[in-house]
Amino acid sequence: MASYKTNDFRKGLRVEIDNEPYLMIEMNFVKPGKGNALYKCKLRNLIRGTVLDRTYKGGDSLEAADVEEIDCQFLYRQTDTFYFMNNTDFDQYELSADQVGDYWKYLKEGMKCHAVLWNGNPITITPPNHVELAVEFCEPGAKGDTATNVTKPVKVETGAEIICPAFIEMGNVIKVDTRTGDYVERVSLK
Amino acid sequence: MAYLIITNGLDQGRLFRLSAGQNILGHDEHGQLQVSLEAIGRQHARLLVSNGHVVIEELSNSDDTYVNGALVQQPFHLHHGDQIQIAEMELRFYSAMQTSVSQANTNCLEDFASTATVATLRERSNLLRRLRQFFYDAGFDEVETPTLSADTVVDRYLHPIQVEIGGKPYWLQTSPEFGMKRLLASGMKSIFQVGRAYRDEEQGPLHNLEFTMVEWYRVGDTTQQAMQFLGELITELLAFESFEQITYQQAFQKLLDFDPLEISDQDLMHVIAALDMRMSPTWQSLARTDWLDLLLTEFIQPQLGLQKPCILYEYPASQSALARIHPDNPLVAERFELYVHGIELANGYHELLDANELYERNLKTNALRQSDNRPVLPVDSYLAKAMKHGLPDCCGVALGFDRLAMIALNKNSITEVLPFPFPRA
Repeated sequence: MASYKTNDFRKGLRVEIDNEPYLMIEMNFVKPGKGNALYKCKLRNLIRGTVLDRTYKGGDSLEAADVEEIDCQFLYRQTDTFYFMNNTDFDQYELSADQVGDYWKYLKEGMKCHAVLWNGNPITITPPNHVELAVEFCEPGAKGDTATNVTKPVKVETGAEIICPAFIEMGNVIKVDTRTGDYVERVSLK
Repeated sequence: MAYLIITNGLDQGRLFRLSAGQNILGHDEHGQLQVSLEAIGRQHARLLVSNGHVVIEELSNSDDTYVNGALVQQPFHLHHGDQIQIAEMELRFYSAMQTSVSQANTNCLEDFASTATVATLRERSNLLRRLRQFFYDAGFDEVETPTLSADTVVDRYLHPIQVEIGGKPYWLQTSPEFGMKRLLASGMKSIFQVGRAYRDEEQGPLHNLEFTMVEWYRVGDTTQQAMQFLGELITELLAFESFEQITYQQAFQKLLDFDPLEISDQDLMHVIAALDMRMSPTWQSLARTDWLDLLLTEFIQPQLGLQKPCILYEYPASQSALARIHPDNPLVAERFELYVHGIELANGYHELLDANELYERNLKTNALRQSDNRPVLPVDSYLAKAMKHGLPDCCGVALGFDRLAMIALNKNSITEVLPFPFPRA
């Protein structure tokens, strides 16, 4: 397998450490005039999202991780298993609820997503930054209450609860930011 | 289409196209406008584009976003040519892409330009003039020796760039040391040089592959005299009142509470294990001297020269490089380094004169280089001949001029004091 020498180290490199894929998110080069070079790295685990601080010395190397980013679409969910399809070669992938994490809240059938494959298997799935979801159920808001600082939870078509302004009603379609989980705006009334 | 161009620092010349809707600027990799500067928050500012209007808004609450010098306290409507400053990053806003700029060219727009501002380059020139004057006033002659030579310094951790000329290997010099010592052996007494040095694989905020080194030698100087001269030079150029000196041993005792010269290997390992250093596992195979060096870099150096310039002296004999061993204490070498604001600025020696010892050190170093899978460097040299002929007793010091300029001009990276750092060379 290909490997990177310290001289190749830079932000954005995808490497394998202890049999897990990492993304190099920071790299600082430190070198005393008469001593060995240090490469101080911050590496994000691409599966768990945790960050590892590691200092490498000149001459060390890291194995390249076979990581690929692809476009795919969400097909359907069967209890705790989520099925996706690669838009290029139509391969199908199964992901567990653990792997999907909180993103289940935004997954609608046919939705285009972004997936990271490691050795050909998906490790993370990211939905678009903004998704539009229909409101299936909510308590009615007080008439004329158009202020955005009064909020209430609503249940959307995926089964998730989103905090919305009080004026949102059943049947409305809302836009949600999947990175924060926040309501953005009302897209349509019906 | 509207766009922003970074006009200073690390990302200078980078262009961001603003797309309709929300554009988040920050060092968050999911943001549309991702910058490398750490001082910029993950989501620092937002640019909203609609109907040809662009509005900037600060998201970080750090109150450091300015347009044309005025703090952005509420969403601000940008106009063509507006100057934006966010923390230390400067950008310029263009409301429409100039038609003469082809699509392919826009990514490298402005990368012909100097990364240092014109004002900085003029201040750098002034600093260089003052530095030269200091040497002239002290009776030094300025010399110039080849930067491309058949000789090269043999050091485990310096990687000279090899060039082949007429089938013969030459090296771009990692310092002018060899040439200057040949001049001493040829009869010169007090010499200095401002020249370029090259070290492969060295690139970062404090390193550039090609850099400016000031190196000087004075025949007859003791280590104390050489340190005094260095201290006077630096206090003069950086406008300090005074400088301090501390031995390598005292620094370790004071800051890490152990004696680096006497500690056993086993106790040293315990000290290191107790410090959470997050080192890659390959470190365990290293030698004592590398561990000491690592502790110096990580824990001692950042504390040196914070109030005034600090000269650290009497390095362990194992880190002597081309310094002579102290005649009264075989554990230490007559080597010293200057630190200002925790940054290594200069390195000096009471020079090794013994050609046989140089030969032996070179052999040992080459063996270590081989174990590191690095090419072996020539052990014989014009310098070895000069030393056999007779190198006069002398001290020599090398100082990194780019770092000096960086500190003098209050910059955070040498790219801010260099016109064309290596990626743009």
